[in-house]
Amino acid sequence: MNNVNYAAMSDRELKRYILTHRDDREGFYAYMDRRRSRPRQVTIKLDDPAWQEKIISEIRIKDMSLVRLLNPQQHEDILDLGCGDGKKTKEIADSGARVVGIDIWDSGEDSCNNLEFEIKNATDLDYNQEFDAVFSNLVIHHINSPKQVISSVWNALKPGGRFVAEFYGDGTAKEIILALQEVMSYHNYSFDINKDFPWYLPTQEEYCNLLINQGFEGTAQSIFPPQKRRIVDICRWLEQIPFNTEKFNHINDYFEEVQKKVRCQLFEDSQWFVNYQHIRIVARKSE
Amino acid sequence: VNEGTNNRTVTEFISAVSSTYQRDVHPIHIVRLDERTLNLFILAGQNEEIELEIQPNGSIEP
Repeated sequence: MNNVNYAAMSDRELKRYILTHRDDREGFYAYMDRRRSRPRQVTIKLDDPAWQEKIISEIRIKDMSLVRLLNPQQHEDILDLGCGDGKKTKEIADSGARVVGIDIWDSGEDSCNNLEFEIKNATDLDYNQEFDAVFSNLVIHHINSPKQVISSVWNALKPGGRFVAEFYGDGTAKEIILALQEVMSYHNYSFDINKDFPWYLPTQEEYCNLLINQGFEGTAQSIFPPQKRRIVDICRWLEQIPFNTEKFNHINDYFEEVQKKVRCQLFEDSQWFVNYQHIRIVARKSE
Repeated sequence: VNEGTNNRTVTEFISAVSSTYQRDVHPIHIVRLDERTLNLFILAGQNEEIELEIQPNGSIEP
């Protein structure tokens, strides 16, 4: 036995630890146990005819930036769904592809050459088989009508086109969301996590099923270890979430109570943090 | 590697990692046996994001 507190390390810290302390068997076991406690992914069986494709897909999807995973080509038309300030849109356009960035707010960037920005809602796009690929970086979880988004993406893609996206999934901010539900319930509000928390946080399986139901095929997906992100505090973090204030008119008054509830889980070394669970998918529209 | 772990799987996995992208390098950081489960754990990739466990029956768990 040694005195190393593995439980206090984040997944990334523990991974770094086992890389630098290769003779510490307990540390290695602690990491393996943590891997097993995560949501299970599909096991790739040895007799699977697509064994090699699935392994390669797993390697590609995890080890590259989302833009590199998109792999934009000069002759392609690409839609950046939820482009925000247009930073990634420009990065895609550097490949020479024609890129259209859409968001519900003005990106503040001017359209030029192979780069266009438009104000549009992702659930109500009017594109018809115009794009070789649809790209979306950390936006989908903000839209609580996933079927409409997937349908819009499907219509926007040419046959054979690809949908490459990363978003927050099930497990994101789970401590805060559960505490909020408890506090709201204590104050006689009926707060349903699935309906009343404005973010859409699916499991990997749920989202892939929606894609398959739409007709997408060859979906590759990957779930990353939870990432800790430092924040000012829980109250400020919750203030940025667009709750339905007509239904929960005093919700902001209860954020302090939520913060107290999660303090032992989300406050370390005089610093607040939130856990984010990232999911990546790559899906293809059938020819 | 324990006897149960399928050597073909290990060889093919390493081949897949090496050939995924000709222009990229995917370093392998750890290949280690978990003696408790007899699973072989592989940690690879430029950002150490590729993690796989090869089970004794040859199946792979990402």
